[in-house]
Amino acid sequence: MAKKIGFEQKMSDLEKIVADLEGGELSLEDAVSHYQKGIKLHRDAQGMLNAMEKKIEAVTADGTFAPLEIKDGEKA
Amino acid sequence: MTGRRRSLFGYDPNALDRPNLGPSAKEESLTVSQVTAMVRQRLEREFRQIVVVGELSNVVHAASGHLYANLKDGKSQIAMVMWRTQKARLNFEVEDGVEVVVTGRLSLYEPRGSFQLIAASMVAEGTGNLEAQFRALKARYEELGWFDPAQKLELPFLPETIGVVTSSAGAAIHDILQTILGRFPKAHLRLIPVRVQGAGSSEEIAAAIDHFCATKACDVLIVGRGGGSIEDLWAFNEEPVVEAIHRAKIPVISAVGHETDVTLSDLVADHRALTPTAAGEVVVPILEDLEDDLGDSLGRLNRVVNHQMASAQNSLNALARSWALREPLNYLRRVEQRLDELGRTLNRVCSDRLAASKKRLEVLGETPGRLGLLSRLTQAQEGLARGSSRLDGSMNELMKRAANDLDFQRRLLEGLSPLSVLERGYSITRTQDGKIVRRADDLTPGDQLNTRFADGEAASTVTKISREDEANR
Repeated sequence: MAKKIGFEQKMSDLEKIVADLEGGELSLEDAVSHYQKGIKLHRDAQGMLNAMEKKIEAVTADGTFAPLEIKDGEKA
Repeated sequence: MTGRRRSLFGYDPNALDRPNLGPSAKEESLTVSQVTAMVRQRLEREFRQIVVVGELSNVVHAASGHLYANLKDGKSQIAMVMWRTQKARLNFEVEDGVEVVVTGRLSLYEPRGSFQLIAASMVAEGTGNLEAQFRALKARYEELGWFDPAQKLELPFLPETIGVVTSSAGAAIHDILQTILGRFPKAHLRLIPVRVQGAGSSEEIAAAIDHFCATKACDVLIVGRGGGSIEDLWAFNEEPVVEAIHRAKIPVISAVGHETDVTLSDLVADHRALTPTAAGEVVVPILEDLEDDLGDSLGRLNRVVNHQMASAQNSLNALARSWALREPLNYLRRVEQRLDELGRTLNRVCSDRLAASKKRLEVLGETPGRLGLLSRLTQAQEGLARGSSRLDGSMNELMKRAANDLDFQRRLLEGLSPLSVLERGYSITRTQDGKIVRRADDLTPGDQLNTRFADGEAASTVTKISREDEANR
Protein backbone atom coordinates (compact mmCIF):
# COMPACT_ATOMS: atom_id res chain seq x y z
CA MET A 1 0.00 0.00 0.00
CA ALA A 2 2.69 2.46 1.02
CA LYS A 3 4.44 4.33 -1.77
CA LYS A 4 7.73 2.50 -2.09
CA ILE A 5 9.69 5.48 -3.28
CA GLY A 6 8.40 7.59 -0.43
CA PHE A 7 10.20 9.25 2.38
CA GLU A 8 10.13 6.21 4.64
CA GLN A 9 11.73 4.07 1.91
CA LYS A 10 14.50 6.60 1.45
CA MET A 11 15.13 6.72 5.17
CA SER A 12 15.34 2.94 5.47
CA ASP A 13 17.58 2.67 2.36
CA LEU A 14 19.85 5.28 3.84
CA GLU A 15 19.94 3.43 7.16
CA LYS A 16 20.94 0.25 5.38
CA ILE A 17 23.71 1.94 3.42
CA VAL A 18 25.14 3.50 6.56
CA ALA A 19 24.99 0.14 8.35
CA ASP A 20 26.71 -1.62 5.41
CA LEU A 21 29.45 0.99 5.36
CA GLU A 22 29.92 0.76 9.10
CA GLY A 23 30.20 -3.00 8.77
CA GLY A 24 33.57 -2.30 7.14
CA GLU A 25 33.34 -5.28 4.77
CA LEU A 26 33.18 -3.22 1.60
CA SER A 27 36.06 -2.60 -0.77
CA LEU A 28 37.08 1.02 -1.22
CA GLU A 29 35.36 1.07 -4.59
CA ASP A 30 32.07 -0.29 -3.20
CA ALA A 31 32.34 2.02 -0.22
CA VAL A 32 32.62 5.04 -2.49
CA SER A 33 29.63 3.97 -4.59
CA HIS A 34 27.62 3.30 -1.40
CA TYR A 35 28.63 6.70 -0.16
CA GLN A 36 27.43 8.37 -3.36
CA LYS A 37 24.08 6.57 -3.12
CA GLY A 38 23.80 7.52 0.53
CA ILE A 39 24.47 11.16 -0.17
CA LYS A 40 21.83 11.17 -2.89
CA LEU A 41 19.25 9.53 -0.61
CA HIS A 42 20.03 12.01 2.12
CA ARG A 43 19.67 14.93 -0.28
CA ASP A 44 16.37 13.58 -1.66
CA ALA A 45 14.89 12.94 1.79
CA GLN A 46 15.97 16.33 3.09
CA GLY A 47 14.55 17.84 -0.09
CA MET A 48 11.18 16.21 0.55
CA LEU A 49 11.08 17.68 4.05
CA ASN A 50 12.17 21.07 2.80
CA ALA A 51 9.45 21.06 0.14
CA MET A 52 6.65 20.58 2.68
CA GLU A 53 4.87 23.57 4.12
CA LYS A 54 2.12 24.19 6.61
CA LYS A 55 -1.30 24.45 4.99
CA ILE A 56 -4.71 24.34 6.61
CA GLU A 57 -7.60 24.11 4.19
CA ALA A 58 -11.31 23.57 4.47
CA VAL A 59 -13.77 22.24 1.95
CA THR A 60 -15.63 24.85 -0.09
CA ALA A 61 -19.10 24.81 -1.60
CA ASP A 62 -17.85 23.29 -4.87
CA GLY A 63 -16.06 20.46 -3.06
CA THR A 64 -12.53 21.79 -3.52
CA PHE A 65 -10.31 22.88 -0.67
CA ALA A 66 -9.26 26.43 0.06
CA PRO A 67 -7.05 27.91 2.78
CA LEU A 68 -8.98 28.31 5.98
CA GLU A 69 -9.46 31.85 7.20
CA ILE A 70 -8.39 31.95 10.79
CA LYS A 71 -10.83 34.23 12.56
CA ASP A 72 -8.63 35.35 15.41
CA GLY A 73 -5.66 35.94 13.12
CA GLU A 74 -6.85 39.39 12.00
CA LYS A 75 -4.49 41.39 14.16
CA ALA A 76 -1.55 41.21 11.79
CA MET B 1 -39.26 13.88 57.27
CA THR B 2 -40.14 10.46 55.95
CA GLY B 3 -43.64 10.83 57.31
CA ARG B 4 -44.20 13.88 55.24
CA ARG B 5 -43.48 11.98 52.07
CA ARG B 6 -46.36 9.58 52.36
CA SER B 7 -48.58 11.55 50.10
CA LEU B 8 -47.32 13.19 47.02
CA PHE B 9 -49.89 15.93 46.80
CA GLY B 10 -50.27 16.60 50.48
CA TYR B 11 -48.82 20.01 49.88
CA ASP B 12 -47.35 22.47 52.36
CA PRO B 13 -45.59 20.34 54.92
CA ASN B 14 -46.49 22.81 57.64
CA ALA B 15 -50.13 22.72 56.80
CA LEU B 16 -50.18 18.99 56.52
CA ASP B 17 -49.75 18.51 60.20
CA ARG B 18 -52.83 20.52 61.05
CA PRO B 19 -55.97 18.45 61.55
CA ASN B 20 -58.49 21.02 60.39
CA LEU B 21 -57.63 23.18 57.48
CA GLY B 22 -60.85 24.91 56.86
CA PRO B 23 -61.57 27.66 54.36
CA SER B 24 -62.92 29.70 57.29
CA ALA B 25 -59.43 30.06 58.63
CA LYS B 26 -58.67 33.02 56.44
CA GLU B 27 -55.25 33.73 57.76
CA GLU B 28 -54.20 30.24 56.84
CA SER B 29 -55.50 30.22 53.26
CA LEU B 30 -53.06 30.10 50.38
CA THR B 31 -52.87 31.96 47.12
CA VAL B 32 -52.97 30.01 43.86
CA SER B 33 -49.36 30.88 43.25
CA GLN B 34 -48.41 29.59 46.64
CA VAL B 35 -50.16 26.31 45.97
CA THR B 36 -48.56 25.83 42.57
CA ALA B 37 -45.17 26.72 43.98
CA MET B 38 -45.63 24.19 46.76
CA VAL B 39 -46.74 21.49 44.35
CA ARG B 40 -43.86 22.29 42.04
CA GLN B 41 -41.35 21.94 44.87
CA ARG B 42 -42.83 18.66 45.92
CA LEU B 43 -42.93 17.30 42.37
CA GLU B 44 -39.39 18.25 41.59
CA ARG B 45 -38.15 16.74 44.83
CA GLU B 46 -39.97 13.45 44.34
CA PHE B 47 -39.44 12.94 40.59
CA ARG B 48 -35.90 14.02 39.97
CA GLN B 49 -35.33 11.26 37.44
CA ILE B 50 -37.91 8.99 35.89
CA VAL B 51 -38.02 6.93 32.73
CA VAL B 52 -41.34 7.01 30.94
CA VAL B 53 -42.47 4.93 27.98
CA GLY B 54 -45.14 6.36 25.72
CA GLU B 55 -46.23 7.51 22.32
CA LEU B 56 -45.62 11.00 21.04
CA SER B 57 -48.53 13.19 20.00
CA ASN B 58 -49.12 16.89 19.31
CA VAL B 59 -45.43 17.27 18.50
CA VAL B 60 -44.47 20.93 18.10
CA HIS B 61 -41.02 22.03 17.00
CA ALA B 62 -41.11 25.57 18.33
CA ALA B 63 -39.28 28.49 16.78
CA SER B 64 -37.21 28.74 19.90
CA GLY B 65 -35.80 25.29 19.12
CA HIS B 66 -37.56 23.62 22.01
CA LEU B 67 -39.72 20.60 21.50
CA TYR B 68 -43.24 20.30 22.93
CA ALA B 69 -45.34 17.17 22.79
CA ASN B 70 -47.71 14.95 24.68
CA LEU B 71 -46.64 11.57 25.85
CA LYS B 72 -49.53 9.14 26.02
CA ASP B 73 -50.55 5.57 26.40
CA GLY B 74 -53.97 4.00 26.08
CA LYS B 75 -55.39 5.78 29.14
CA SER B 76 -53.47 8.91 29.99
CA GLN B 77 -51.20 11.59 28.71
CA ILE B 78 -48.50 13.82 30.11
CA ALA B 79 -47.28 17.12 28.71
CA MET B 80 -43.64 16.91 27.75
CA VAL B 81 -41.03 19.50 26.89
CA MET B 82 -37.46 19.06 25.67
CA TRP B 83 -35.14 22.07 25.60
CA ARG B 84 -33.25 22.74 22.39
CA THR B 85 -29.85 21.71 23.83
CA GLN B 86 -31.10 18.21 24.50
CA LYS B 87 -33.21 18.17 21.37
CA ALA B 88 -30.09 18.71 19.25
CA ARG B 89 -28.74 15.38 20.40
CA LEU B 90 -31.71 13.34 19.17
CA ASN B 91 -30.76 10.88 16.49
CA PHE B 92 -34.18 10.15 15.09
CA GLU B 93 -37.00 12.11 13.54
CA VAL B 94 -39.38 13.27 16.26
CA GLU B 95 -42.94 13.06 15.03
CA ASP B 96 -46.40 12.03 16.16
CA GLY B 97 -46.97 8.34 16.71
CA VAL B 98 -43.37 7.45 17.52
CA GLU B 99 -43.01 5.21 20.54
CA VAL B 100 -40.34 6.67 22.74
CA VAL B 101 -38.53 6.12 25.99
CA VAL B 102 -38.02 9.43 27.76
CA THR B 103 -35.70 10.08 30.66
CA GLY B 104 -36.38 13.27 32.59
CA ARG B 105 -37.87 14.94 35.64
CA LEU B 106 -41.32 16.18 36.53
CA SER B 107 -42.12 19.80 37.11
CA LEU B 108 -45.08 22.11 37.18
CA TYR B 109 -45.80 24.76 34.62
CA GLU B 110 -47.12 27.40 36.97
CA PRO B 111 -48.95 29.67 34.50
CA ARG B 112 -51.29 26.80 33.70
CA GLY B 113 -51.01 24.81 36.87
CA SER B 114 -50.30 21.66 34.94
CA PHE B 115 -47.43 19.31 35.50
CA GLN B 116 -45.07 18.31 32.74
CA LEU B 117 -42.23 16.00 31.99
CA ILE B 118 -38.97 17.81 31.24
CA ALA B 119 -37.10 15.39 29.01
CA ALA B 120 -33.32 15.09 29.28
CA SER B 121 -33.02 12.41 26.65
CA MET B 122 -35.31 10.44 24.43
CA VAL B 123 -34.82 7.42 22.22
CA ALA B 124 -37.21 5.87 19.79
CA GLU B 125 -38.60 2.59 21.07
CA GLY B 126 -37.05 -0.31 19.21
CA THR B 127 -33.89 1.69 18.94
CA GLY B 128 -34.51 2.10 22.61
CA ASN B 129 -31.76 0.00 24.08
CA LEU B 130 -28.61 1.43 22.59
CA GLU B 131 -26.38 -1.12 24.27
CA ALA B 132 -28.37 -3.98 22.76
CA GLN B 133 -28.40 -2.27 19.40
CA PHE B 134 -24.64 -1.75 19.57
CA ARG B 135 -24.09 -5.42 20.30
CA ALA B 136 -26.34 -6.49 17.44
CA LEU B 137 -24.62 -4.21 14.91
CA LYS B 138 -21.21 -5.24 16.15
CA ALA B 139 -22.05 -8.90 15.73
CA ARG B 140 -23.29 -8.24 12.21
CA TYR B 141 -20.16 -6.45 11.02
CA GLU B 142 -17.93 -8.89 12.81
CA GLU B 143 -19.57 -11.69 10.89
CA LEU B 144 -18.98 -9.80 7.65
CA GLY B 145 -15.29 -9.70 8.57
CA TRP B 146 -15.17 -5.93 8.59
CA PHE B 147 -13.06 -5.78 11.75
CA ASP B 148 -10.49 -8.22 10.38
CA PRO B 149 -6.99 -6.88 11.10
CA ALA B 150 -5.82 -8.31 7.75
CA GLN B 151 -8.14 -5.87 5.95
CA LYS B 152 -6.69 -2.82 7.60
CA LEU B 153 -4.65 -0.39 5.53
CA GLU B 154 -1.24 0.72 6.69
CA LEU B 155 -0.95 4.35 7.74
CA PRO B 156 1.55 6.35 5.69
CA PHE B 157 4.75 7.15 7.56
CA LEU B 158 4.80 10.73 6.42
CA PRO B 159 1.44 11.78 4.90
CA GLU B 160 1.50 14.57 2.36
CA THR B 161 -2.04 15.63 3.13
CA ILE B 162 -4.13 14.77 6.19
CA GLY B 163 -7.92 14.85 5.96
CA VAL B 164 -10.01 15.58 9.05
CA VAL B 165 -13.74 14.91 9.40
CA THR B 166 -15.14 16.31 12.63
CA SER B 167 -17.16 19.16 14.06
CA SER B 168 -15.74 22.63 13.52
CA ALA B 169 -16.83 23.44 17.05
CA GLY B 170 -15.59 21.62 20.08
CA ALA B 171 -12.36 20.39 21.53
CA ALA B 172 -11.67 17.56 19.05
CA ILE B 173 -10.67 19.75 16.08
CA HIS B 174 -8.55 21.90 18.34
CA ASP B 175 -6.79 18.90 19.88
CA ILE B 176 -6.13 17.31 16.50
CA LEU B 177 -4.72 20.47 14.89
CA GLN B 178 -2.61 21.38 17.88
CA THR B 179 -1.12 17.90 18.22
CA ILE B 180 -0.32 17.54 14.54
CA LEU B 181 1.22 21.00 14.16
CA GLY B 182 3.13 20.57 17.40
CA ARG B 183 4.80 17.45 16.04
CA PHE B 184 5.05 18.37 12.39
CA PRO B 185 4.76 22.12 11.88
CA LYS B 186 4.81 21.73 8.07
CA ALA B 187 1.71 19.52 7.94
CA HIS B 188 -0.86 19.98 5.20
CA LEU B 189 -4.37 19.57 6.62
CA ARG B 190 -7.75 19.50 4.92
CA LEU B 191 -10.93 19.76 6.92
CA ILE B 192 -14.52 18.87 6.18
CA PRO B 193 -16.55 20.16 9.11
CA VAL B 194 -19.62 18.03 9.89
CA ARG B 195 -22.23 17.68 12.57
CA VAL B 196 -21.19 14.78 14.78
CA GLN B 197 -24.47 14.20 16.62
CA GLY B 198 -28.16 14.53 15.98
CA ALA B 199 -30.38 13.30 13.17
CA GLY B 200 -28.60 13.18 9.81
CA SER B 201 -25.13 13.53 11.29
CA SER B 202 -24.03 10.02 10.36
CA GLU B 203 -24.96 10.65 6.72
CA GLU B 204 -23.00 13.90 6.83
CA ILE B 205 -19.93 12.16 8.22
CA ALA B 206 -20.21 9.38 5.63
CA ALA B 207 -20.52 11.90 2.79
CA ALA B 208 -17.38 13.68 3.99
CA ILE B 209 -15.42 10.41 4.06
CA ASP B 210 -16.68 9.51 0.60
CA HIS B 211 -15.74 12.97 -0.69
CA PHE B 212 -12.16 12.63 0.53
CA CYS B 213 -11.88 9.21 -1.11
CA ALA B 214 -13.52 10.18 -4.39
CA THR B 215 -11.33 13.26 -4.82
CA LYS B 216 -8.20 11.63 -3.36
CA ALA B 217 -7.83 14.85 -1.44
CA CYS B 218 -5.70 13.32 1.32
CA ASP B 219 -3.61 10.24 1.97
CA VAL B 220 -4.79 9.59 5.50
CA LEU B 221 -8.08 10.50 7.15
CA ILE B 222 -8.99 11.25 10.76
CA VAL B 223 -12.68 10.81 11.63
CA GLY B 224 -13.86 11.58 15.11
CA ARG B 225 -15.23 13.77 17.86
CA GLY B 226 -14.71 14.50 21.54
CA GLY B 227 -16.20 12.65 24.45
CA GLY B 228 -19.89 12.39 25.32
CA SER B 229 -22.67 10.02 26.30
CA ILE B 230 -23.43 6.93 24.27
CA GLU B 231 -26.22 8.93 22.61
CA ASP B 232 -23.73 11.69 21.73
CA LEU B 233 -21.38 9.21 20.11
CA TRP B 234 -24.13 7.25 18.43
CA ALA B 235 -23.54 8.54 14.90
CA PHE B 236 -20.23 6.66 14.93
CA ASN B 237 -22.11 3.41 15.46
CA GLU B 238 -24.54 3.95 12.62
CA GLU B 239 -24.44 2.14 9.32
CA PRO B 240 -23.65 5.11 7.06
CA VAL B 241 -20.43 5.92 8.94
CA VAL B 242 -19.36 2.31 9.48
CA GLU B 243 -19.93 1.52 5.82
CA ALA B 244 -18.20 4.65 4.55
CA ILE B 245 -15.12 3.83 6.63
CA HIS B 246 -15.22 0.24 5.44
CA ARG B 247 -15.27 1.16 1.76
CA ALA B 248 -12.69 3.95 2.11
CA LYS B 249 -9.58 3.37 0.00
CA ILE B 250 -7.68 5.87 2.13
CA PRO B 251 -6.46 4.70 5.55
CA VAL B 252 -8.87 5.93 8.22
CA ILE B 253 -8.04 6.74 11.84
CA SER B 254 -11.08 6.71 14.10
CA ALA B 255 -10.85 8.95 17.14
CA VAL B 256 -14.13 9.00 18.99
CA GLY B 257 -14.61 10.12 22.58
CA HIS B 258 -12.41 9.06 25.44
CA GLU B 259 -10.31 5.99 26.13
CA THR B 260 -13.26 4.03 27.49
CA ASP B 261 -15.60 4.66 24.57
CA VAL B 262 -15.61 2.08 21.84
CA THR B 263 -17.66 2.70 18.71
CA LEU B 264 -18.11 0.62 15.60
CA SER B 265 -16.16 3.30 13.73
CA ASP B 266 -13.19 2.50 15.97
CA LEU B 267 -13.51 -1.18 15.16
CA VAL B 268 -13.90 -0.86 11.41
CA ALA B 269 -11.26 1.85 10.97
CA ASP B 270 -7.70 1.03 9.95
CA HIS B 271 -6.44 2.49 13.18
CA ARG B 272 -8.22 3.31 16.43
CA ALA B 273 -6.93 6.33 18.29
CA LEU B 274 -8.13 6.49 21.87
CA THR B 275 -8.63 10.25 21.70
CA PRO B 276 -8.42 13.00 19.06
CA THR B 277 -5.03 13.94 20.54
CA ALA B 278 -3.82 10.36 20.10
CA ALA B 279 -4.92 10.54 16.46
CA GLY B 280 -2.66 13.55 15.99
CA GLU B 281 0.21 11.63 17.52
CA VAL B 282 -0.16 8.60 15.31
CA VAL B 283 -0.72 10.43 12.04
CA VAL B 284 2.58 12.32 11.78
CA PRO B 285 6.13 11.73 12.99
CA ILE B 286 8.03 14.47 14.83
CA LEU B 287 9.72 16.66 12.22
CA GLU B 288 12.67 17.46 14.46
CA ASP B 289 13.35 13.74 15.01
CA LEU B 290 13.36 13.13 11.27
CA GLU B 291 15.81 15.94 10.70
CA ASP B 292 18.01 14.65 13.53
CA ASP B 293 17.95 11.15 12.02
CA LEU B 294 18.89 12.51 8.61
CA GLY B 295 21.72 14.59 10.04
CA ASP B 296 22.95 11.62 12.01
CA SER B 297 22.97 9.40 8.92
CA LEU B 298 24.93 12.00 6.99
CA GLY B 299 27.47 12.29 9.80
CA ARG B 300 27.96 8.54 9.98
CA LEU B 301 28.21 8.33 6.19
CA ASN B 302 30.97 10.93 6.09
CA ARG B 303 32.80 9.56 9.09
CA VAL B 304 32.91 6.02 7.80
CA VAL B 305 34.02 6.98 4.30
CA ASN B 306 36.62 9.46 5.52
CA HIS B 307 38.02 6.76 7.74
CA GLN B 308 38.17 4.28 4.89
CA MET B 309 39.81 6.82 2.56
CA ALA B 310 42.35 7.70 5.22
CA SER B 311 43.33 4.08 5.78
CA ALA B 312 43.65 3.50 2.03
CA GLN B 313 45.84 6.61 1.81
CA ASN B 314 47.99 5.23 4.63
CA SER B 315 48.50 1.93 2.84
CA LEU B 316 49.45 3.82 -0.31
CA ASN B 317 51.94 5.97 1.59
CA ALA B 318 53.48 2.89 3.15
CA LEU B 319 53.95 1.34 -0.28
CA ALA B 320 55.48 4.51 -1.66
CA ARG B 321 57.93 4.55 1.23
CA SER B 322 58.93 0.92 0.63
CA TRP B 323 62.56 0.31 -0.23
CA ALA B 324 61.91 -1.27 -3.60
CA LEU B 325 60.06 1.75 -4.91
CA ARG B 326 62.27 4.33 -3.31
CA GLU B 327 65.60 2.74 -4.42
CA PRO B 328 64.78 0.72 -7.53
CA LEU B 329 68.33 0.76 -8.78
CA ASN B 330 69.76 -0.57 -5.52
CA TYR B 331 67.11 -3.23 -5.52
CA LEU B 332 68.08 -4.24 -9.04
CA ARG B 333 71.76 -4.34 -8.17
CA ARG B 334 71.07 -6.61 -5.32
CA VAL B 335 69.21 -8.94 -7.66
CA GLU B 336 72.13 -8.81 -10.10
CA GLN B 337 74.56 -9.67 -7.36
CA ARG B 338 72.52 -12.62 -6.32
CA LEU B 339 72.36 -13.81 -9.93
CA ASP B 340 76.13 -13.55 -10.30
CA GLU B 341 76.53 -15.55 -7.16
CA LEU B 342 74.21 -18.25 -8.41
CA GLY B 343 76.07 -18.37 -11.76
CA ARG B 344 79.36 -18.83 -10.00
CA THR B 345 78.01 -21.61 -7.83
CA LEU B 346 76.63 -23.34 -10.91
CA ASN B 347 79.99 -23.16 -12.71
CA ARG B 348 81.80 -24.45 -9.71
CA VAL B 349 79.49 -27.38 -9.21
CA CYS B 350 79.67 -28.30 -12.91
CA SER B 351 83.44 -28.19 -13.16
CA ASP B 352 83.85 -30.07 -9.87
CA ARG B 353 81.73 -32.87 -11.14
CA LEU B 354 83.50 -32.91 -14.49
CA ALA B 355 86.84 -33.12 -12.76
CA ALA B 356 85.63 -35.99 -10.58
CA SER B 357 84.39 -37.87 -13.64
CA LYS B 358 87.70 -37.33 -15.45
CA LYS B 359 89.55 -38.66 -12.49
CA ARG B 360 87.46 -41.79 -12.37
CA LEU B 361 88.01 -42.31 -16.07
CA GLU B 362 91.75 -41.98 -15.68
CA VAL B 363 91.73 -44.54 -12.89
CA LEU B 364 89.75 -46.88 -15.03
CA GLY B 365 92.11 -46.32 -18.00
CA GLU B 366 95.13 -47.35 -15.94
CA THR B 367 93.67 -50.62 -14.80
CA PRO B 368 95.63 -53.55 -16.40
CA GLY B 369 93.90 -56.29 -18.29
CA ARG B 370 91.25 -54.04 -19.54
CA LEU B 371 93.13 -52.87 -22.59
CA GLY B 372 90.23 -53.40 -24.88
CA LEU B 373 88.43 -50.75 -23.04
CA LEU B 374 91.12 -48.13 -23.57
CA SER B 375 89.99 -46.99 -26.97
CA ARG B 376 86.36 -46.84 -25.83
CA LEU B 377 87.40 -44.84 -22.85
CA THR B 378 89.31 -42.40 -24.97
CA GLN B 379 86.19 -42.02 -27.12
CA ALA B 380 84.04 -41.45 -24.13
CA GLN B 381 86.49 -38.96 -22.75
CA GLU B 382 86.39 -36.98 -25.97
CA GLY B 383 82.57 -37.10 -25.97
CA LEU B 384 82.53 -35.83 -22.47
CA ALA B 385 84.89 -33.01 -23.31
CA ARG B 386 82.61 -32.00 -26.18
CA GLY B 387 79.56 -32.22 -23.94
CA SER B 388 81.30 -30.18 -21.29
CA SER B 389 82.21 -27.43 -23.68
CA ARG B 390 78.66 -27.41 -25.10
CA LEU B 391 77.31 -27.18 -21.60
CA ASP B 392 79.63 -24.29 -20.86
CA GLY B 393 78.57 -22.65 -24.11
CA SER B 394 74.84 -22.82 -23.46
CA MET B 395 75.32 -21.84 -19.83
CA ASN B 396 77.26 -18.79 -20.96
CA GLU B 397 74.56 -18.01 -23.51
CA LEU B 398 71.89 -18.15 -20.83
CA MET B 399 73.85 -15.99 -18.46
CA LYS B 400 74.53 -13.48 -21.20
CA ARG B 401 70.86 -13.24 -22.08
CA ALA B 402 69.88 -12.70 -18.46
CA ALA B 403 72.61 -10.11 -18.11
CA ASN B 404 71.33 -8.32 -21.24
CA ASP B 405 67.81 -8.26 -19.83
CA LEU B 406 69.06 -6.86 -16.61
CA ASP B 407 71.15 -4.34 -18.43
CA PHE B 408 68.11 -3.19 -20.39
CA GLN B 409 66.09 -2.77 -17.22
CA ARG B 410 68.94 -0.92 -15.60
CA ARG B 411 69.24 1.43 -18.52
CA LEU B 412 65.56 2.18 -18.31
CA LEU B 413 65.90 3.02 -14.65
CA GLU B 414 69.10 4.88 -15.17
CA GLY B 415 67.44 6.98 -17.83
CA LEU B 416 65.52 8.50 -14.95
CA SER B 417 68.67 9.32 -13.03
CA PRO B 418 70.64 12.58 -13.35
CA LEU B 419 73.77 10.51 -13.87
CA SER B 420 72.56 9.49 -17.32
CA VAL B 421 72.27 13.14 -18.28
CA LEU B 422 75.92 13.55 -17.45
CA GLU B 423 76.64 10.50 -19.63
CA ARG B 424 75.40 12.53 -22.58
CA GLY B 425 78.12 15.13 -22.06
CA TYR B 426 76.50 17.50 -19.58
CA SER B 427 78.13 18.32 -16.27
CA ILE B 428 77.12 19.94 -12.99
CA THR B 429 79.18 22.76 -11.59
CA ARG B 430 78.94 23.68 -7.91
CA THR B 431 80.51 26.44 -5.86
CA GLN B 432 82.52 25.48 -2.84
CA ASP B 433 79.54 25.62 -0.55
CA GLY B 434 77.76 23.07 -2.77
CA LYS B 435 75.33 25.40 -4.59
CA ILE B 436 74.71 24.57 -8.23
CA VAL B 437 75.94 27.30 -10.58
CA ARG B 438 73.15 28.22 -12.96
CA ARG B 439 74.22 31.64 -14.19
CA ALA B 440 77.53 33.36 -14.96
CA ASP B 441 76.21 36.21 -12.86
CA ASP B 442 76.49 34.04 -9.76
CA LEU B 443 80.26 33.93 -10.09
CA THR B 444 83.18 36.27 -9.50
CA PRO B 445 86.76 35.71 -10.66
CA GLY B 446 88.75 33.68 -8.15
CA ASP B 447 85.81 31.43 -7.14
CA GLN B 448 86.72 27.81 -6.60
CA LEU B 449 84.45 25.46 -8.58
CA ASN B 450 83.80 21.79 -8.53
CA THR B 451 82.53 20.15 -11.71
CA ARG B 452 80.93 16.77 -11.72
CA PHE B 453 81.16 14.58 -14.88
CA ALA B 454 79.68 11.21 -15.53
CA ASP B 455 82.85 9.44 -14.54
CA GLY B 456 84.39 11.80 -11.97
CA GLU B 457 84.98 15.35 -10.81
CA ALA B 458 87.35 18.25 -11.52
CA ALA B 459 88.28 21.34 -9.49
CA SER B 460 88.83 24.70 -11.18
CA THR B 461 89.17 28.42 -10.50
CA VAL B 462 87.25 31.20 -12.27
CA THR B 463 89.54 33.52 -14.11
CA LYS B 464 87.23 35.55 -16.34
CA ILE B 465 83.50 36.11 -16.68
CA SER B 466 81.83 37.33 -19.83
CA ARG B 467 78.10 37.78 -20.07
CA GLU B 468 76.14 36.97 -23.18
CA ASP B 469 74.46 40.39 -23.40
CA GLU B 470 77.86 42.14 -23.17
CA ALA B 471 79.25 39.88 -25.89
CA ASN B 472 76.33 40.81 -28.15
CA ARG B 473 76.92 44.50 -27.75
